[in-house]
Parts: sequence; structure tokens; C-alpha cells
Amino acid sequence: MLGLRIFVYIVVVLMLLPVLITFPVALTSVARISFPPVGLSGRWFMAIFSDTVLLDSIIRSFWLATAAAIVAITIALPCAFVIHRSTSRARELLETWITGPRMIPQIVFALALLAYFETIGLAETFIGLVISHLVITIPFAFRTLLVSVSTMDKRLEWSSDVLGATPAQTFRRVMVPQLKTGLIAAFIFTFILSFNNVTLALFLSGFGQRTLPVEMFQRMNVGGMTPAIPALSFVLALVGVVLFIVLDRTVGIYRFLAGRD
Amino acid sequence: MADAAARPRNPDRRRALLSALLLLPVCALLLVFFLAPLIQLVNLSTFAQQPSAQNLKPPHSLANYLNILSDPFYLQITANALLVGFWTTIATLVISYPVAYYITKISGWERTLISVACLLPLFVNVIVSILGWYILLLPYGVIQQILSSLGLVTGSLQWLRTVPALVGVLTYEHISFAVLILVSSLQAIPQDKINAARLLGAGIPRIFFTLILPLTMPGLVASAILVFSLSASSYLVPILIGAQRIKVLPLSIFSYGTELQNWPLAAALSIVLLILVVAITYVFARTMNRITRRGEWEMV
Amino acid sequence: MRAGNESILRFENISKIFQGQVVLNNLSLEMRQGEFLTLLGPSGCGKTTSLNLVAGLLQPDSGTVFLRGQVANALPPRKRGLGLVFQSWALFPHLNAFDNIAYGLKIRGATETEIRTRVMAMLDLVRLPGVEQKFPSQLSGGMQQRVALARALVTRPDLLLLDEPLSNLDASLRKEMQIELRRIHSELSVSTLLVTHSQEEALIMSDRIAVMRRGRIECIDTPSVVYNRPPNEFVCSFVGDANIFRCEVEQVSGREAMLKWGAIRFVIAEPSGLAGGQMLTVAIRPENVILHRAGTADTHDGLVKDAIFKGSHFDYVISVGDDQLHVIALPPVDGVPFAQGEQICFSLPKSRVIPLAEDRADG
Repeated sequence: MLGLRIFVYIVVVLMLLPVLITFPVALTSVARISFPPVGLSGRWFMAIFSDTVLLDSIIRSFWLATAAAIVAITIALPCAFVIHRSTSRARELLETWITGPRMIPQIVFALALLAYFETIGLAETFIGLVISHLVITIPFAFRTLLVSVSTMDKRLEWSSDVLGATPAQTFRRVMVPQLKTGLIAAFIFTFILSFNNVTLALFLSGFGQRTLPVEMFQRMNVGGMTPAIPALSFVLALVGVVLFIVLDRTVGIYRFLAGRD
Repeated sequence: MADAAARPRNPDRRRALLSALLLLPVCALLLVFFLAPLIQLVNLSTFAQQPSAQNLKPPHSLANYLNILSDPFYLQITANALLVGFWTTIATLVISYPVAYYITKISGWERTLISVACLLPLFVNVIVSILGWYILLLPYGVIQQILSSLGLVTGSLQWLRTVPALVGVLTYEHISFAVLILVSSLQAIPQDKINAARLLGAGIPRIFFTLILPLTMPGLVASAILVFSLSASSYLVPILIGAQRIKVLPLSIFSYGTELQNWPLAAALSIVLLILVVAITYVFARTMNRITRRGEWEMV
Repeated sequence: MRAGNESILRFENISKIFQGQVVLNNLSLEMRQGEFLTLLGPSGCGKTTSLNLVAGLLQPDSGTVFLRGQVANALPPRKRGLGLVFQSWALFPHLNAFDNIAYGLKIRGATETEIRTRVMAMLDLVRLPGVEQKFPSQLSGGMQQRVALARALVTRPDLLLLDEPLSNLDASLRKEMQIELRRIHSELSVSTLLVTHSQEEALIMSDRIAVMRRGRIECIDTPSVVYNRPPNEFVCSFVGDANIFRCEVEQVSGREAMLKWGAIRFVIAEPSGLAGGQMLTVAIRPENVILHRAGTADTHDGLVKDAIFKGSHFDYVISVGDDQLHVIALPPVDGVPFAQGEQICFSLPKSRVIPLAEDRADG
């Protein structure tokens, strides 16, 4: 057991290393990536706020993710209901159909959409991007919501029925509250997937319309890299950790991510 | 009174109609924005040249495919991509399985800590992870400085742009997926079966091979499939860590799709990648199913 | 008891099939306004299905459900004006007790003051003052039960449906609630349909009991009749304990018949339709067999095989030839209980022997 423990902790260190390294590198006072940092300064953390292109991309990513998450849930929730209440044969078919997009390498899908959007005029538009994110996030939203829908107690609906409520009233007053944790989990899940998505955004966003991951990629690949990027990376990682801990303490992280198969 | 029996039919039909209505948005979305683009991609791959404003529908031909299948360059990059996928899958599973096992045995803050570390890549975007490793693997980068001070290396080493670095970073990226799947797989093993085996005197290796491994095989297969298909089609890491020195198929798709603007060729390459990945994972899954079903582990 | 003459609920030839299984088999019954009717039977007999049909949560495959004299098959649950309490109580977990109870009133658009008054009155009725702010997870089983009852009754339904409401409670709480339910029933004069597998509950609370088996009603009558005059073997052994044995009818004369059981001959009253030479299944309840130290002309010999002291009474197993009789007896007047191995005499009072109909072959 001890050997296993050591192994696991080595893995833990290696997993955290790339994230942890961004912090000292970002604290450097000069405009290049180096370790150990040359002098200590917080200027690059501050620089994030004065880099308008970067800020733009953050805001764009945020709205994109919010839109994708809301629409994905709105579309996936009815599906979860229908599938939960159908027979097993129809279920399998529908589940495979809805989660199909997961099977395709994203680069293939991105290329296909790139050419397709060109022909229907959605190339480089925000809506096109949202739609592309919908296709790949709905499977996850669906899975998460299906778990939630499956654990609903039918007797609560029946009680509401007998007490005089219309189906719409029962939905609003009894079913939605039961689904609350599932809905929140699905929202966060979809939001994260969309916010962090690189491939689709890379292929489908216009030149001046970059999302955050794309902007970071271009800085690394093409040029314009400054320690502001590691600084931003570190901040993003912190946010991720906080989010993780919150989710684990409330829902339990493995249950939350259970939608991921 | 007799028509009371006829009445239940109506609620059934109404329900079927409602179900169809509720499924309409997702079906429409997938038809229009998933199926149609893919079909069009196949169509696109049969164009001999890039469609342009002057020539909206170039003639159809299989020239691209012939080109790909006969040119040793394309065969090489395809093989590279599949190999990268293969090695990444092995490395990922070898690391993730013990870690997942350990996670199921602990609880509390230790579990949260290890889970944070293993699942963090899922919460931050890929570029952040790649950037971190880039910094670490730079010549005179952090790791080399540590090793140097320990006297293990001298001079500066070019670790970026090597296959091990590529596979290493890809493994890093995909450990999260594998750990996730394997933890639920391991947690699904009923503890009383293990206890029963212990009571019967089975030692740990025996319990592992006859009980735990077979019961988690579906999880292993699922992880393997997922990691393989993700890493074989990865282009970001080859670009940023491999600096495009290691040629893999997805890289060409990327180039032809964006900079070089030869969409038909890119499309053909994508189809090839798609078919290969799907075929390999399908065959793998089927074989594994058949093997595990031969059930010496049916003892449970 | 104070049941009116109007029918509040009527099943006419109701059948229901689930996945090829016949759950309700051409069932007919009628419930009068104000009565407390219990559907009693083992699991799988169709009692819960019947309840769901009354509530409108299920549709019959054939037959008609009448509520208050009107055909109700197509009527959705929310328009049926019923109250329903599930076995699991099904309280809304995200609402506190007050809001749970007020739910039905809020749906009907009642005013704040009216809601407040009626909910508090309900809480008084079920004897739960002070829990309004608590959530179901903070309430004990017994309290949740009462809240569920209050919720069902606050809308003043004229028919209350209870699906095994007491099974999730522990024994002492159950006894308390049995009395409570009976009290609420009389205070509100609400017709109550109870579904249970506990014959004790049925006997204690009901005006009438309908004993069900495999989708059919075996008998429907007052507790006294169901207990003392069960029509067949199933009802006899399901409701209370019984010694059941087959006898040969030796002769019928006037208002008596002589039966032969093993080596024993005894007399039974009112043998309608019996003829000599027939076989007849009879039963006698353990508490009705009388044990004596000394024999008379009417007694038979037996041997005490087992004597179990149960505090308020004794449980005896008496050997009678190759057979056995289970007897419950208070300790004898002279204070000395019968002991194991003792030779005793017993009598079978003719008014207490119950003739039973043949069990249906498909039953």
C-alpha cells in the first residue's frame, strides 16, 4: 500500500506542476518567460486588466458559455423526460442519437462545420459558434439531467395532481425544485465545456472575435506571448479549483461528473 | 360503458405526440448541424480542388483519397497519429488505474486533494495545461534545472519537439478522463464479493486478477476508447509542444483547413481519420467483449 | 356507521391488465357516503391498483368508475375532489409543513387569511401544533404522516384515499394512528377508503372490509361478519387465525348436522344445503375451542402437545389423533394452567364452527 501511496503522490505532484509553475513565472518583472523569475512583480497580473484584446476575449467566452449552457439545458431537459419515460428499446436508440456527437473527433466536426457554415452564411458568427457548442455540450447536459430526472419521485407529482394542480403547475411547483441540483450541475458542466473549448472556437470564430482559449493559443503559437498569459492561466486554474471544491462539497464531484460516462 | 375501454388509447397517443414535440429541438439541431455538415464533408472530400466564388461546384473525383493512400507522407503521418494514440492510451491507463484504485480506498480531505489534482485539467482549458508543460520542458526550464543541480544532466536538452514529450503531455491531459471512468467502475464492485474472496483465503494478487480486473474491464475498455480517440486526433499538443516537427494526421487537417485553405484535401484526411478511429475502437471493444465473456471470472 | 344511502364510489366490472397479468378481474364494488371501507388483501391482490383507479392515476382497461353517481373514467385526478395519502407520505421536500398543507389551497387561489385559518385548523385536527416552519426532513415519521393527512384533508374532499398509510410507522405509533384516523373520520364525516394488508388494522378501523385476492373481491361486509362468518378458506385464514379441517357429513337432521372428523363427531348448526355423505371444510377460531379438565358427553379427548405462556393468555397446541388444534385460552378459573403432556378434553361449540365454501380452483 505504501508503494501505491508514493506513486499516487508523485502523480499528484506531476498533475499540479504545470499549473503551479505558472505562478512564479507570472511574478517575473521582465517581459519574457523564464524560471527562476527575474525579479518579483505583480505587474503581469495587473496587465491582464489593461490588455483590452484579452479582456474582450474573456467577456466573449463568458457570454458564449452562458448562452450555450442555457440553451443546452432548455433543449436537453425535455429529452431527459421523454427518454426516462420511454421503453428500453426506444431509449437506447435515442440515447445513442443524442450522445452521437461525442464519438466524432472534434477536429473533424470543426472542419465540417467550417465548410458548412460557409455555405449557409453562418461563418464567423457568434450564433454559429453557439450552435457548434450546443451540439457537443447537449450530450453532457442530457446525461446529467437524465440522472436527475431518474431520481424524481413520481408520487410527488401524483400528490400534486390529486391536490388539484394542472400539469403546468405540477411542473413548476413540484418537479423543477426536485431538479434544482441537476439543473445547476448541468449548467456548470455545459458552461465549463463551452468556456474551455478550443477546437470549435479556433475554426469557427472570426479574426477579431476570438474566445479566450483561442486568444491564448494564438499568443503561444503565433506571437505576442507575455507573462500575462501565465498570470491569467494561474487565475483560471484558481477559479477551477474553487469551483471544483464547491461542487465536491455540495454534490460530490464523481456524482456530478457521472454524466461523463 | 363499452367505450371506456376505447378512451385509454387517446392519452397514449397524446403522450406520443407530446414526446415527439419535446424531442423536436434536439433532433432538428442534430440533423441540421451535425448530420448535414458531416454528409457535406464527405461530399467536399470528393472535390478535386477548393471551391471558390468562380467555381462553386468543382468536378467530383476520388483524387484526394488516391493521393492520400498512395503518398508515403500521408501514410506516415497517419501511422504516427495512431501510434501516438496508442502510446498515450497505454501510459494513461497504467497511471490512472492505480490512482483510481487509491482514490476509492480513501476519503475526506485526502480524497479531495487527489481528486482536485487529477481532475483539474477538466476545469481549466487545455492551453493552460500545455503552457505549463511548455514552461517546464523548456531548455534550461524548471525540470532541467532541478536535474542539473542534482548532477543528473549537463548542458541544455531539447525536450520539446520530441515524441516522449508529446506523449507525456497528451497523457497528462487525458488522465482525468480515465480516472473518472475508472473510479466509477471500481466503486461499482460490491465490497461483499471481495470480502467473500478474502474469507475464502484468496490473496491480493489473486483477488485482483480474478475479481477486480474482470469486473472493471468495461471501464478500462471505455477509458481506452475515449483516450485513444481523443489523443489520436489531437493537434494542439503537436503544434505547441511538438512545434509541428512530429507530423501527425490531425496537424495536416489543421493546416489544410486553416492556413493552406485546401478544404477538400482536409476533408478527405478527416474522413480517413474518422474511419480509422471509429474502426479501431469498434474492433477493440468487440474483441475485449469477447475475451472477457469467456468468463473464468464467472466464479462470482 | 352513519353512512348515508348515496353511493360515493362505485366500480362496475372493472378490469385492469399490466404486462399480460390480470391485476383486477371484473371487479365490482360500491362504497356509501360517509363509510370507512377497507380494501384488505395480500400483496399483489390489486388493492393499490384499485386505489389508483379511484384517484384517476390509472385508467381501467374495461368497466366503469362512478364517483358520486357520475361516470368518472375520463376525469383527470385534479378534478375528482379527492384526498390521497401515500404509504411514503410523499411530502414535498422543498416546502415546509405549512406550505405542504397549504398546497391544495394555493392551487385553488385561496386568500392568505383563508389559507392561514384553514391550515392552522388542520394542524389542530391532526394534533400537530407548532411544526409549521419545519421541513419534512426535520419531522419524525409519525409527524410526516399527520402532515400528509392534513394536506389531503385541507381541501375538504368528500372521499379520502389512504394507501397503507401506517406501514412505515413503528408498532406503538401505528396503534396510536389507527385511533387517530378513526377519530378524524368521524369528526369530519369524510368517506374513507383504506388499503392495507394488515387484518388487524382493517378490523379496528373499518365500517366494512372488502377482502381481495388476485384481482377479485372474496367478500365485503362488516368486520364482525368477515371475522365470524368468512365465506371461504382464504378469507378465514387471512383475517385472523383459524383451525381449518375437512369433515364428512354423516347426517343432517332439522337444523343441525353431524360431522365426522377423524375419530371425532360433532354437531354444527344451520347446515343449509348439506346432504349426508358430502365432504365439508369447516373452521373454528382458536379462541372458540373450549378446554376442560373433565369430560362430558359433548367433549372430545385431546393431548396438550405445547403450552406457551403469552402473558394475557395461553397458546396451546392440542393433539387430536393425527391432527392438531391451535387453541387460545385464558388461564382456567381454578388458577392451574394446562400443562404440556396433560390429557384434556375440548369442545367445539356448534355456533362457533364455521362452514366454508370450496375455494375456487383458479383462486
